Amino acid sequence: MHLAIDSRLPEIERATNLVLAFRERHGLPERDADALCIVLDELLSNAIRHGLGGAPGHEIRVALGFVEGEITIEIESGGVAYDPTLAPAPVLGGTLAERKPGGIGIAFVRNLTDSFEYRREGETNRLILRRKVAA
Amino acid sequence: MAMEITQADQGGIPALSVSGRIDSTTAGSLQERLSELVRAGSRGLIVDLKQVAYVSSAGFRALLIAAQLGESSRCTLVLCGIAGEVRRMFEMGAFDQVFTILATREECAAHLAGTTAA
Repeated sequence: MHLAIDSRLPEIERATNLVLAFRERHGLPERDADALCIVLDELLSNAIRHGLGGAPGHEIRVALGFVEGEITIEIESGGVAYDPTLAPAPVLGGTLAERKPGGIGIAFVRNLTDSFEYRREGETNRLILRRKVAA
Repeated sequence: MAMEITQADQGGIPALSVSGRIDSTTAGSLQERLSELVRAGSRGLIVDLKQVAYVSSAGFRALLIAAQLGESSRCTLVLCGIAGEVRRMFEMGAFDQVFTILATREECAAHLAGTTAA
């Protein structure tokens, strides 16, 4: 299943709706669909903020596949080269006042997927992620 | 359903019940609602996440910023109703170590009564 969204945060809801349709088509468990929604929320908001500098009017393409018990997520966006797989691990310790609000999104993505790959192809940032669905 | 917030009174403390998903498209309005209550001078805030499907990093950011604003304004934010996959996300981000998390709204209200009385 495919979708193209504009590079604006409210557009991410369309990716969430795509996951709901994808879940229904393949009869996926709710926890896998929720994990997919979180992964897309993190990566699409990152692509909009970092890769495209928050500028609207750029197309971001999302593709979801399900073959032999494995979900594949592919995201293609333009903008500057931005490799989220290189994001450092967040600092998680400290008190409430010390805790920094950012940096956790990519850690969630790593935790919710089995593989997470980045490629720069010409002017395109391409992400390929895989998640096995428990039998 | 994207996200809905309903507000009730729990022993004199505002209790927000959130349902749906807390992500980059909904977190802003949650943060705004929580900040309004902190600024209104509430001594405590209860946030019940029992009906929440999932929380992305944008949602944790909103909760964290509201809790930090609360701490600097003497308003304690207490969470409840966190179970299953939502709890797993709290643990994954070590947010269970920075937020006060209790089982029910009643426990939250009792905790806040004890805190503010002390």
